[in-house]
Formats: sequence, structure tokens, C-alpha cells
Amino acid sequence: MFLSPKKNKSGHNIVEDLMYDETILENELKPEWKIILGNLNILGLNEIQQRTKDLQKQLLENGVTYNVYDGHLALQRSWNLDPIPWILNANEWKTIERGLIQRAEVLNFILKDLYGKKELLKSGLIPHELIYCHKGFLRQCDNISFGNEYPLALYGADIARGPDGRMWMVNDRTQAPSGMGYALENRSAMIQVLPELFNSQRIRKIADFFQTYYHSLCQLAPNQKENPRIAMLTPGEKNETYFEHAFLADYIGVNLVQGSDLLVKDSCVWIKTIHGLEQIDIIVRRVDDIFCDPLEFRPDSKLGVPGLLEAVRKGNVVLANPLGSGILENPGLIPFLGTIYRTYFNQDLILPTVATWWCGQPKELSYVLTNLDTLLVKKIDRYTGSPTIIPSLLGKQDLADLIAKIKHEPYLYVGQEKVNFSAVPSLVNNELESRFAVLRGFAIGSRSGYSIMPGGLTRSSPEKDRFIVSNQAGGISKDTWVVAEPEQPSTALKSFIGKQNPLLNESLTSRMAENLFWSGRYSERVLATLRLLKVAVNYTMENSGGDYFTVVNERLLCALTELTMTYPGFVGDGEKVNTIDPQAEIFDLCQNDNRIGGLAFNLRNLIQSIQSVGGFLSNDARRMVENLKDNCSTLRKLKPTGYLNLGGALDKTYNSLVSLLGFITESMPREQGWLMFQTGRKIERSYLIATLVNSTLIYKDTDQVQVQILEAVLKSNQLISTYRFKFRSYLNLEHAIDLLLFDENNPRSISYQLQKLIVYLDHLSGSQVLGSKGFEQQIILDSFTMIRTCDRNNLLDTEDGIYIRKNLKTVLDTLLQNIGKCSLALTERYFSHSASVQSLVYPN
Amino acid sequence: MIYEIDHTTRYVYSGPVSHCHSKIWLQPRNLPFQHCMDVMFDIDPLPTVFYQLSDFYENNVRYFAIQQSHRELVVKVKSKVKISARENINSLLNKDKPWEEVRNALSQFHKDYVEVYHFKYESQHVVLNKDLYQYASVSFIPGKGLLSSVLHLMGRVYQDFKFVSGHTTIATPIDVIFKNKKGVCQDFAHLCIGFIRSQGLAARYVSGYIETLAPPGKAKLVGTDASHAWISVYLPGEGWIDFDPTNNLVPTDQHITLAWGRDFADVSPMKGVVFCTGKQALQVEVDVRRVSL
Repeated sequence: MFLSPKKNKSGHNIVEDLMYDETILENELKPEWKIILGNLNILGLNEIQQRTKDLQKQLLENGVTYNVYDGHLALQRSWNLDPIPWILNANEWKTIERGLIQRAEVLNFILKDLYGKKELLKSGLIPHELIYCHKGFLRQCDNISFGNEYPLALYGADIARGPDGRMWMVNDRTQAPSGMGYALENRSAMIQVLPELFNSQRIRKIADFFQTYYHSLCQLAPNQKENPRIAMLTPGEKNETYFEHAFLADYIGVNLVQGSDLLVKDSCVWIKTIHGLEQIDIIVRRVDDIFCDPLEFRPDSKLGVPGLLEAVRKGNVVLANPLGSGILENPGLIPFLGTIYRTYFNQDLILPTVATWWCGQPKELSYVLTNLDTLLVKKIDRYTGSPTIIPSLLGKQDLADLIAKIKHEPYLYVGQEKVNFSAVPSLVNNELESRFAVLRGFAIGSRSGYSIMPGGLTRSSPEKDRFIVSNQAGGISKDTWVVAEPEQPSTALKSFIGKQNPLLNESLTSRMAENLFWSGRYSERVLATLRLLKVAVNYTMENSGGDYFTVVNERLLCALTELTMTYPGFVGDGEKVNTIDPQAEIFDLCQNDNRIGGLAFNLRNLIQSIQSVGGFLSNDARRMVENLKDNCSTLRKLKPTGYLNLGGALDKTYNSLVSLLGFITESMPREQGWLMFQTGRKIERSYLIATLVNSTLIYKDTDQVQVQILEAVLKSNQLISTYRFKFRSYLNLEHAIDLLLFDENNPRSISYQLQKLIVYLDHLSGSQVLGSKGFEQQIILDSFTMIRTCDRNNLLDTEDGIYIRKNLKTVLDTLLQNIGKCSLALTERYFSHSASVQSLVYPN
Repeated sequence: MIYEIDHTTRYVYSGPVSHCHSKIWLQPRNLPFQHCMDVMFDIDPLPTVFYQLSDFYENNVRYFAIQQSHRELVVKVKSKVKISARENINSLLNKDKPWEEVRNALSQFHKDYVEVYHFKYESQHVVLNKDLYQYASVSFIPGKGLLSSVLHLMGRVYQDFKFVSGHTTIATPIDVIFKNKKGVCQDFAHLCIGFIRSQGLAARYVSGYIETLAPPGKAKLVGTDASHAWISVYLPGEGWIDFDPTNNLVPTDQHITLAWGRDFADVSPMKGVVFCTGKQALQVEVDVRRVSL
């Protein structure tokens, strides 16, 4: 047996003194642990190591990330999952469940009282300093009708086991508790990668809890409205738990929005969609309350919705959790909760809280000051970003400063006992080690009271004896298992993932529409750049001489600059002789993602916009996005020493993008989102074909040069075989132009793109009736007519002594202008382009 | 004494504003010695949403939303207020209590003080520090009455600090004002609140107006062409008593109270958010006329 619960490799007892070993009860292995450890032993160490890697891969492919901050930089960190879960038996869980419900009830009661009758303050059950001096007490929210009995709709609590074996409450999260989505992803990955671990015992299912979550949210709707529309408000991609916002919104089927996607009008909240404003009834808030409304709270906030609190006050929208609930994230309340619960609920709280002394009382203050070395010190609110202080680790001066601060405003501080959390076995560097672990549990309030997620998110400390457990510091997560009783549903090993509530009858939000449109545009831009790069590089490598070689080579390289608009590039600035090093320039385009228009830049933007529409993608497509990211990073890391490896890297990137687009085409429902995506692709493709023809084929060349250039242009549009099949002749310009511009059956001609665009834009606008066309439709119709009716006989003419085919150029230039105008009109009509928000300044 | 007040606030924007949400604290409160006889709001462009509400401190607030594109916003408020005599400072001084006694009373829990405690602690514009405490300690000497200590403090502030407009903005922190020894009435109010709170006492910020033209034979007061600000100090048994540090006087019948709070941030005459990419220019005019005795 390689996994011994009691001894580590060197034979030392891995359980520290004064620390509770999760696996042991009265010197016996607990039965639930015995089963898990047995299952692990059957797999064997090698297999477990492999599965651990698979777990990581699975999570990565699902895009599970956590953003961490390094100075001002936000970095995406992949999510770590330990293969060994924390398992709790049914009896242990009953206590935790009851304890969480009680805690949620008492905090919910306090919330209602503080913003209502304030009996707790008037009777002195809560000292006023704890509330008045806490920045989370938002006086603007006073006397707001919460509209339901459990305004604290979502509650998260950190729980850990103390040395005595009892579970202890450590922290409360009452604004926007995070972790539910990560818990679900953990379970999902465990089921897929380590199904054997679930053998021989039934583990409670957590997926059902999300159904409860959704239904409880719906119950919050103003005036008991049926089928309310729900939005999840996120600060945006840079937020540390953005992954979870996107995942949860998608999973329960609600709109993920940022402040600028919403608007308060007529005291109601509206979401901007491609069909205008649609009303929002419930907002799940993942933005801290003081950032939610610049009119009421922080005037500098760009994350909120001006006027939101007024809409709440008028009862037209409900927030979960309500504005003002940050007051409950207050360790100073801990010593008073028991009395409040006894007074108003006639019961004792069954889960103890870590012993806490609030310094606002003289006796407690002197206790804290004389026992600083054995305590933790916390501020009552987190608004000033004050983390937990460990006085025993402070230097002399820092300690003196801390004491002075506490004495100056004692009511802002608490002292808290340091608890040795229980030891949970974890797989670390292929060995079993014990780690401190903290469980975040979740409660959801609905009309019938609180329900608790049967499980949660366990995080363990990154280092052996490290006390602080946090994601920001690089903790490791664990799945949390609760053993099911016979009547309770257990995790089914299959058919796990499923959208609970698809967004029905709701218009596409302007933000999603814009992201889909740009995903389409960037896809085409990247593909076209990749193809032209390949052709240009190959041409350079294959030909080493000939009279025409230099001319053709230069023309292709200039076309590359014009297609990507990375001037001066190979085109130069007109006067000086261009002395650019072709290889260095090509590698710069491929690798420098700050070079606007270059391949690396476009790839980065493509990935960003595709990731922001993740909800529209199938699992296969998401996996392909990861694959594309890998290939991009290989391309970027390539040593710029020669073209040999470049071709391969370009091919791989190209292939993964084509597969991605294939998966999207296979699975995306043919609805508004698809129309936006395709519109973006068609607009970009027609623009790029016109640009390429404009920079390569409008010049009068010698026959030899002409043929070489035609071949390259057709190749880079993948039209060589089509040409040969259709014309069965040597390459000539007239036929090539026919194929590129006029052939309505060729999916790579401009006519074809315009034809499709006309259809897509009609569907988007919902009006196929003649005479009611929008500008963007009209201008594409005009362009299509222009192409169809242009005088083909004289199209390729050149005037004497002039090197350029003027008629062709005029057609192409008009086309390019029209496409640009169409894109602007689309932006104007469908996308959110809110003017920036500013606060009125009043003089002093 | 009856006053008529015209208060006009005008914002001109360099670009179009599609939406505007605003809250204004511009209706005078009703008090034992003040009665608001009439108030009229004239807002251009006409708001789509406009209603009255009461804030945490029971000030009268109006919320409005303009939902049509505009380049200029004009908020005109006309009010008529009757001011009657309030208790004279000399009579109050007879009921003065040692300031330490007040401090000790406020440091204990008593349900009567639940609404007073709000004004004891730091707030956004009143950040306490050692300098404020030391400056104030000269006036708060052992055994001295609360009101006479505040009068003493106000006299020193009037001597040591200069009224200079344009030198500070509402964002200037209190320690900078203390160091530079100059500011406008909001700054004087914040400073004095800081001095008083640093001693463990309760002081609040009062926003309002003072009479524009002095009655014959009296000097014109400072702070007449805009909204004014002063402070109020809590004396258990007597309640809140006003002091005007900018003019070094105890208000009698020339001060009209709009609203009070912990500091300017709670009762700024006008707050607002606009959707606009351009710049804003602001102009405020206040006229306070005595219409009858």
C-alpha cells in the first residue's frame, strides 16, 4: 500500500501535534476514507500521477483559470486540482449544513434590521461602531424594501476543522461569494478523469444545487414576475474570478453583462441588445457594492450602472446580493452573533466561530494587546484592502505601529485565535502529504428558507506549514465529497453537463453581438494573412533567381504589408529606398503582438474575442481554442533564424484555426449569434480579397511576371485547382479576375460574399420587405449591383503610358469604401458604444 | 424674517449628453426655527423622472433623470423660508457642560445617542490625525465647557486660517488645508469638524445659505454668492448647536439650513452622472433676499 494515511515516506507521522487528522477517528481509519484510499491503491501511484496530469489538462481545456495580479498586471493562472478529495460523512455534513443555515439566517436578519428598524443598534446588541465605522454600511441604502424575506440570497462561508475535531466558521462572504462554479468544474473533472475513485460509495450530487440556485433567483423577481430576465454583472475579463462569472452565467442560462451593457431608464434597468433595450428584473452582482452606482457611491467607478440604486428603490429590479450587504463581511460581528441568534431565533449557533475579540471594548482590547503574539489581527472591513495581520511575524517597528493604530481606533480591529486547521491528505510532488484545508460552503435563500450545496470548494495551503490558504497566493483546490444517505441523489457518472435554462426569446446582447462580429472578422484576417505569408515565404525559398523573381517577390511582400496595414513595412515611405530585412520583418509580423495589424496582434485579438463568446462554443470548439493558443505560443517562441521552421508553425496555426471554425460551423445554432459571426467573416473576406487584388493585379506587367503573380494570388486564395478545373487553360488575368470578383458560385469571390451578406443582413434586421432597408443593407446592395453591372470589357484596360488598370482600381476602391461604411453602420446600429460616463463636479 | 432664495446651477457640455441622472439637496429643511414656506424646481431640459425622497439624515432630496439628448443643463430652485429666533448663545452658555463630561457620555452606549454617534468618527472628507488633535487641544482644556471651548477654537481658526477662494477644491485633503492655512467655507467647516471629532466629540456638517446683502449698518458676510457651509456641535440635553467658523459667529437669523450630514459628501448640493464624452463647464449663482421682517 503506497498511500498510508499515517506515515509519510520517511516514516514520520505526517500529522502534526495539535492538528486533527481528517482520515482518523478513534485511532481507526474512517470508513469513507478507507474506501477512497483503497480505490487510490487499486489505481496505483503511476496511474494516479498520469490522471493528475489529465485532470490539469481537462481543467485547462475547459478554460478554468484564475486571474492573479503581479503588480498591475493581471495574469491568468490555471486552476490546480488535487486528485484526492476532502470527504465528509453524512453525520458530519448534517452539522455543517445546519450550522451554515443558522449562520445565513442570523446574517440575513442583521442585514434586514440594519437597513430597516435598527433594533440591534438601539438595543445595543450590536455596538454602533461596528456598523457606523464599517465602510460597507451604505447609508444610501437605508430603508430600501428588499422585497423578500431572504434578501441575503447567496451566502458563502469558509469552514475549517479545529484540533478538537469540531468544524469552525472562519469567514463570511456576503457580497458576491465566489467558488460555486469552480466547485462544479472540479466535480466535473473528477468524474471524467477519476471515475474509479467514486467506486463503492455514493457521493452527493452538486449539479442539482444550481437548479435550486436558478429557481431561487427567479423567486426574487419584482412583483413575482414570471420568467424574469436575469443578468450577471461582472467587472470584466480582468477580474480574478472572471472565468467563474462566464461559466456560471452560461451554466444557469443568464446574460453575462458589464456595467456599460446596462442602462437605467424610466427607473428600470435595461440591457442593450441588437433589437433595442430589453428589461432586466434581477441582477446577480459580482461587482462590489460601492462600485455598482457612480451616482450613489464611488463617482469614479466605471464598473457600475448610474441610477441603479434608484431602480432598486422603486422596486423595479432586485439585486442578489443587495447593495449594502458588504456590512456583514465584518469579523467584529462574530462575538455578538450567538446572543442575537438566541434572542431572535431562540436557539444556539451549533458551529462555533474562531474565538474573536473585538477591540472596541476595553477588556477585549487589553486582552488582544497583551496576547498579540498568539493572535491574528484583522480589520473589521476589507474596503481598505487590509489583509490578515500576523503580529508574531512583525518586526519591532511594525509591531509598535500596529499597536499604535489599534489604540487610536480600537473599534476598527479584532484579534482572532490562530487555529490549526485539520490535516487533509494531498498529493504533492507525487507523495502524500498533509495540508491545511478550508472549505467554502454555499447557502442559497429562497422563499422556503436556505438550502446548502452538498459539497463546496476546498482549498489547501500551497506549502506544508503555511497557514494562509488563498487562491491569490497559489493554493490548491480539492473536490469536496459528502457521503450520500440512501434517499439522497448521488453524482451520476455520466450525462453531467447540461445547460439548465437556455436563453429563450431573448435578443442577443450588443456586447455579445460585437464580440461575435469581431471573432468573425479576426478569423478571416488571420487566415488570409497566414495564407499570404505562406505563399510569400515559399516563393522566396523556392526561387533564387530569374529576371522576374525580384519583381514578383517584392510585389508579394508589399501585398503583405498592404493586407496587414503594417506600414511602412515592405512598401516603405515612398522616398527612401527600402532597405528592410525581409526575414526580420516577416518574423516581426508573426511574433510581435504589439504590431497593430500583424499576425501576432490579430491572433491575440482573435483569441480574446473568441474567448469572450465562449458560451456560444461547443466543448470541441473550446478545446480547439486551447489548441490554437498552444500553436500561437509555439509560433511566437520560434527562433527567428530562418524560414525552415516557420512554415510548419504557420501550418499548425492555420490548421487549428480551420478546425476551430469547422467546429463552430458544425455546432452553432443558426440564430442571431451565428448571423453576427458570419456577417463579420463575409465583410472581412470581401475586404481582404479586394485589398489583395488591389495591391497585386492592377498593374500592367510582363507576361512572365503576370503569370507568377497570378499563381501566387490564386494560391493564397486557395483557388488554383478551381481555376484549372474551370478554365483548363494557362493562367490569365481575365479569368482570374472573373473568379475573384464575379463568380457568384465561388465561395472565395467578392460577389459570393456580397450575396451572402445581403441575406445575413436581411435576417439580422428582421425585415425582408423591400423599401425598408437599413443603410448597411443598402450599401451592400449597391456594391453588389456595381459588381454585377460593371463594364467587364474595359475593366482591365490601361491608358497609354500609365502603368495602372484604372477601371479595375476604381471598382475596387469604391468597394473597399463601401465595406468600411457598412461596418460602421453595423456598429452604429447593433453594438453598444456607450459614451463614457462622467460625474458632475460641484464647486466647493 | 422671510427670505427668498434663487439658486441656479448651469452645466454646459462640449458634447451631447444622452442621459443624466442627478440628485439634489436643495430644499431647505424644516426646523424649530426654520420653516420652508415654498420651494419650486425648474429644470431644463424637462426630466422624464422626477421625485422626492428623504436621505439617511432625513434631508429632502430630489432625484431626476433626463433621457433626451442635451448640451446644457439648468437647475433653478426658488425657495421661500421663514426664520424665527433661536436660543441665544449667552443663554446656551449658561447650560454649558464640561467637554470631558460630554466626551465620556458619548463614549458609552446610550440609545438616545444612536443617531449622534454617526458624527463622532472619521468620514470621507474629515480624516483625523495627530496635528488636528494637537491644534484642538489648546482650546479643549480640562474642565472647560463644551460650547465655550468651541467658541475659543472658532476664534483661533478665524485668526490662523485665511478665506481664499480658488486655492482648494473639494478634493483637497484636510491635512493639506491644515498645513496651508487657507480655504473656503467648506474647508473651514471640515477643519473644525476634524478638530472637534479628534477630541471624541460629535460634530456635523451643515449646508445652506446666508443672506446676500447685509442689513444697514452691518458688514457683508463671507460666502454670500454661493452655497455656504458651517458646523453643528452636539451638547447632550440641548441638542445640536450651530457655529459658523468662516465668519466666526454663532448663527442667529441670517443662516438658512438646507441639509446636514457627516461632511460635504453626504449633502453636496448637486450630484450627477452624465453620459458624455466631452468636457463640462459649471456656473452657480445664489441670491438670498430678505423680503420681510
